[in-house]
Amino acid sequence: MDGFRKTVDTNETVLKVRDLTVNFASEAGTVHAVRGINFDLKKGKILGIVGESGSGKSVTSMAIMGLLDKNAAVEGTIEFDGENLLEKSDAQMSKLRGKRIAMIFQDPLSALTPVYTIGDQIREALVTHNPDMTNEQVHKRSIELLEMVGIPNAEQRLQSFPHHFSGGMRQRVVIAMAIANDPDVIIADEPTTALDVTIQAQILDVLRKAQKETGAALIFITHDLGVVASIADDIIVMYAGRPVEQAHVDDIFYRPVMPYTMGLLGAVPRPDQAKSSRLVPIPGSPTNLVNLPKGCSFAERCPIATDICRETEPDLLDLAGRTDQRVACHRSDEIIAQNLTFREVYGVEESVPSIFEGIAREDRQMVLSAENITKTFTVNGGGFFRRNIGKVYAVNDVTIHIREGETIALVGESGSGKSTTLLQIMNLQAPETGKIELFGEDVAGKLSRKERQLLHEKVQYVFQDPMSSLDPRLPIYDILAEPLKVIGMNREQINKRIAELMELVGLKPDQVDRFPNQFSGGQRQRIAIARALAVNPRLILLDEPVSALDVSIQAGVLNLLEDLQNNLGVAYLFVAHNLSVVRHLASRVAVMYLGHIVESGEISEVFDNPMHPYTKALLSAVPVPDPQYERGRERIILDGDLPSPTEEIKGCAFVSRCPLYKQLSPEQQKKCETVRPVSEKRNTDHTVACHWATMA
Amino acid sequence: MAETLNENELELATDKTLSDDENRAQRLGNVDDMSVDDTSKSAGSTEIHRTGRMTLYIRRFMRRPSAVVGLVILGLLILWAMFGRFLTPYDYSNLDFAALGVPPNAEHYFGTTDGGGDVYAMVVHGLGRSLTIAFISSILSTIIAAIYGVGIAYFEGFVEKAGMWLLDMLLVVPSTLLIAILVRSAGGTSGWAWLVFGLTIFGWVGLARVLRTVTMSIRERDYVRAAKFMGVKPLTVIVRHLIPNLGSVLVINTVLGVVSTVSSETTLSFLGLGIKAPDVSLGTILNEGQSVIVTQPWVLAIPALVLIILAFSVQLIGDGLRDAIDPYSRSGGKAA
Repeated sequence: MDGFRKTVDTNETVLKVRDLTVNFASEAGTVHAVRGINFDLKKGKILGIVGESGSGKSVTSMAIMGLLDKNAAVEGTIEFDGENLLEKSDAQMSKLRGKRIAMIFQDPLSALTPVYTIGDQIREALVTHNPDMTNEQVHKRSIELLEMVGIPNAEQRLQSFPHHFSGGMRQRVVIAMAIANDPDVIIADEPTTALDVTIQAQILDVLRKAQKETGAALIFITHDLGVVASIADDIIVMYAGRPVEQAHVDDIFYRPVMPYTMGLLGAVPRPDQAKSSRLVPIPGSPTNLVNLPKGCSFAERCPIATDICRETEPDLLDLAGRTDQRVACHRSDEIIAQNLTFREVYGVEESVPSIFEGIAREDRQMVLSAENITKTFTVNGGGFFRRNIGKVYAVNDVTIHIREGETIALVGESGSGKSTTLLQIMNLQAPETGKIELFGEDVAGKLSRKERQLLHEKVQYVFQDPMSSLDPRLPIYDILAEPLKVIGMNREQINKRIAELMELVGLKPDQVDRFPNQFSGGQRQRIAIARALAVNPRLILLDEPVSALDVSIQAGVLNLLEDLQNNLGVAYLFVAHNLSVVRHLASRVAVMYLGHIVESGEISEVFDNPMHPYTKALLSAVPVPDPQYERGRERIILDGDLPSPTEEIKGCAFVSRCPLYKQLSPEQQKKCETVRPVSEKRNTDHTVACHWATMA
Repeated sequence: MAETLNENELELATDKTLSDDENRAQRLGNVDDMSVDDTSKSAGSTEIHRTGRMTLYIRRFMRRPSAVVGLVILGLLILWAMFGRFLTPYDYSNLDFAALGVPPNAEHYFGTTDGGGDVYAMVVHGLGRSLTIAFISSILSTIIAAIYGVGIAYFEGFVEKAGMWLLDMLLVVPSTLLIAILVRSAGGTSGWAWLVFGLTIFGWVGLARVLRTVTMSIRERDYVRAAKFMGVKPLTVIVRHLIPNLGSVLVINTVLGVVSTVSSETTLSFLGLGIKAPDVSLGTILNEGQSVIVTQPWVLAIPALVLIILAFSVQLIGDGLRDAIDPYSRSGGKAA
């Protein structure tokens, strides 16, 4: 156990995967989840596997761990230490799992057992594979591990239960357990997807460190190109169960050859650059893994597919003139010869000009004006009486103004009160403090049922997850008809309107008799948007409208939202944690922290010249799909997590994590602790709530 | 990993209901009205091969041999209860004084009772009676429980609190006693209807509590919230969005409710508190048989056996249904 840091020979192959195929049984037929993947994993290297949902990336990792369900048929070889893992029994695999090959799962909330202390769980990870360890050794090693993953007060923390830890801290514990036995291979399956960006930056740091310390090879599975750009050495891009491009990280990002890789890169907006052009969605929806097409699985979505693409499936072949880059594409030679990039392959459309173009913001009509609104939740104690023991300020003194035809984004970590703000507006009731005016009408006033109904018509809501926002057992027709029936349309009008709506969001009107689960995620979100548009609203509140969608589909939905706004002049108030999406779609942004708006203003003003230390940290934590930029970039990594909202904070809410605060003189710090900063206009269109914003 | 594995199973996870076929047919009609000329299906990408939900459930149900066996047995029992009386010249209420307490023979298939009643005819009629009571009361209590349980959960706040008080109160009411009083005051032939009534008004309480709990999670779903935001009326939300999504719970509870109702009905009748002469149910025959268990064991054994077979078959169907509807069960088949 001593001598942790090993000398790492990066040429030694630890894991060799050959012709791995995995099939599953399903009601619809055999699902070809993985169809032939080959790779060598070198010691001390990080291999990124990128792909959209259903591309087979997770299944590959589960196959390596030997954790697939019984109804999976696995073929090929996975060579580890000279042995084929696929031939091993479950009992034999158990000896390897956790000791030589370790796994980090996506959701840290469910990866730890709630009824045992952290110490017990680390002990279990250690003792299972080293039964001879004495208690003292276990204790010492556990502390060492927790310190390595950056958990302060490691000794006391061993006694804590998982629920005492936040999501980010739990993921650290999971990583500590994964590296406990100094494994040769660590598989991380979307380890940061469930976390906020600021926490994600911390965890990526820890992962890099853990990988270095153990000298293990790391397989990093993700759908997020930004994350993989900053961490991986080599990348495999998977599509429909097959690797379609395999290369060094720089080649993938700067010289992609496979049209799918190009499409993936082109579909992601950049958070560090102003919106330059329209996004380009990859047409169509992900390939069905049950009835695979005859030729290249990507052919039906590929803009440059030819007959041969539809006839035979291309093999993953070395590219002439490039080192270590392998591509499965019939037209790779032409693409390289003509130096085709994403622009030529997909063709970028022009966006429609907005109907409000040329009209100054001040001259547009005010759609929503929410002034100083507050929303609190009471906290009840346990026991028989459930006494009221405190208040949580979910939304605290928030002011938002939206004018016609503009998009305002609310950004912040989870728990910052973004969604609560939306719901507060949507409830059409008087807020606890302050006032909400919609279209110049105060919602606190006595509204008759009829008037309230009229307001409902003008304000609509789009939910995050189209899986749950559409009733699974109603056909699309009924889903779209619901808001129309409420406003008393007759059947003919409804039919006409539904046909219009389907057209408007780019779906075929003859699909209205289908059920939501017959559509892909992107199509479902289109239906949800169509439902919101049904009654011609003037303001739509969107709660993370694209976060549940794959990147290639996300671009299509973002374009749709953009077009609808430009054509119909509807205003959006939207909540997102993905700052790239915000930068692309929004015209103004408000950054929230613990229920307060800490900074707001015009989008490029805030993104290019952030003044509040929190905004700076948030922006620096966002991964950018550009490996070179990532390498040269200095991140501000925030300490710790969002403080508990039940804590009563007198001064600035950000004090506990603020990097600027640490550099201040004691008197200045005193001011931060005791006086709550108010929003001040720092520029023509830029407000900041920080005492020392000018210093930073 | 679950992303694609079992697409169909996932769709079940979000959607637990039995049949939409009727709805669907209606909707198809509407589409025709719209006379949309774009009927051409797009090239492959949007065309989805889909197994209908009903077909899916049936297939999964049929994959379980025990469930099929249960279904066949129940079917046979129902047919027998309906038409079994044509196989014998004797009626359940007529007494054959020429054969008092004879063991099963060619004349009286299941023998006769002390008083000369034909056990075969009695069992056939009793089974029919017990099944009728069980099915009617089980379905009625499910309907009441669904409306009440879902309703109080949807309205939350005071309505939910008050609704729960009522449920808790009903739980402590000595239902057996009240049913006995109800049935006693009724006449002989209408007694079974009163029994149905009694079993129903006390039978829905437990299920309503369960449904309220399940609804508490469904009412937080976005589609319910979406309907609220659109200004849809509460009753419409309950009927259109909430109850249909409880489909599987309702179906399983109705089926399993049959078993429990049969057993409470027989228990009551056995104690002399349920069905009364001249009407016959499985419970009353059992009651008659217990006094002559040593001398004429067939009077007890045969109805008891029928009762066991009935309960067993329904139990098998219930298990099969649960597995067929539950997306996480193991009826997935094998990979090729």
